[in-house]
Amino acid sequence: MRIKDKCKIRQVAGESVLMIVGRNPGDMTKVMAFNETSLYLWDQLQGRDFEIADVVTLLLQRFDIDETTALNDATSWVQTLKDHSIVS
Amino acid sequence: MHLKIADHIISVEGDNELRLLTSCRAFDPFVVSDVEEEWSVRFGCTHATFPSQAEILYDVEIEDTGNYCRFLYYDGRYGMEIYNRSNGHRQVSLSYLPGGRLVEASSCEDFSSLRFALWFAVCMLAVPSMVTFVHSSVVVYHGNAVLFLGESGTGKSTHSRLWLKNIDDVHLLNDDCPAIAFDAHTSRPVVYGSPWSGKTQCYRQERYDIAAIVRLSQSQTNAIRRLSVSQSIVALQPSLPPALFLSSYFDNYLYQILSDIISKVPLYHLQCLPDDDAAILCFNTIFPRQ
Repeated sequence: MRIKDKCKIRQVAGESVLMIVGRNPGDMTKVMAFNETSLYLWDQLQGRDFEIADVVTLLLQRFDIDETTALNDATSWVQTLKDHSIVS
Repeated sequence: MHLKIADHIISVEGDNELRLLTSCRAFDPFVVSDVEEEWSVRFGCTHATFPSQAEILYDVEIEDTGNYCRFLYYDGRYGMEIYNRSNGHRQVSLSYLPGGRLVEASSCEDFSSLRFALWFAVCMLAVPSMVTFVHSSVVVYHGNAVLFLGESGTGKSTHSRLWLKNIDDVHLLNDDCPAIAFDAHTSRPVVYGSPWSGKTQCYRQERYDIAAIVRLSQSQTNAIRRLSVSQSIVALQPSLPPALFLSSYFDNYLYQILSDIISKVPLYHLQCLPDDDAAILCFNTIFPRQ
């Protein structure tokens, strides 16, 4: 999978957010606020193809956690991106 | 004709178009003379037909007109056309090269299309200078403005009228499309009247500090709450020019504007009935008694 080129993290009033703007009037604008961990994963993975295993590796490199926790966190992070069509 | 909008000077050219525009009083308070323009909108200087491979960024109906607005990107330029979907007739088209100070336009004989096209042209010229229109109704109390946001039909104008009725020393600045810019010295956002005020004839060449921005939604009860940063983004973003968010050139400026407004002005959500209590609750929250 790959983060879509059009998805950009922006700094708005001190927060890192990803905005998904609707193309039609009445479409809801979605805003996802990124914490430090999400931002780290995003920076590392943007612009390249990756799998859940890559996310696990990044989490293990950065945090003192076991592999099961890393896999659970990676799976849920990727699922959130998929739910909002941020990866293709 | 030179217009002064949000402290910027725009030259509008085109004989027939000027006759049409000056036939209504909306532009009178904004006409200035003996000044040098920063930006120009030139009607009748191009036929601006867009190549078939142009990328269509946005294509929506303009409220209550039966006309559609299509925003495109082609050959490094942005284009906009207003057309009638039932007969395919094109009312007007605009063309803008990013970074430029000129919007080229075709001639236009339809008044409502012309008004909209001029608004859109000023949007494209102004946003890179950190000036934008905000779809809102604005009241002013003791020199401080409050903007009411909401989709069409939510009751922005009604809520403004409830302030006028219930609170002393309040006046209406604009009922549809005021401009927001930033003070050159303090960097604080300020709001200006404009020639675009929806169905209400309220065209004021005035400028005020902004006390608060309030998104309205209809409800069976009245309640107000202050919004977090994320909630403020969701509240304010849809009220900035929607087409320009779909351009990779203009959106960077719009996000900066969004960020600078939210950093400096409190945003609220008011769920409300169209009644006096709603206006009084909102007023007392924004301007608590000392």
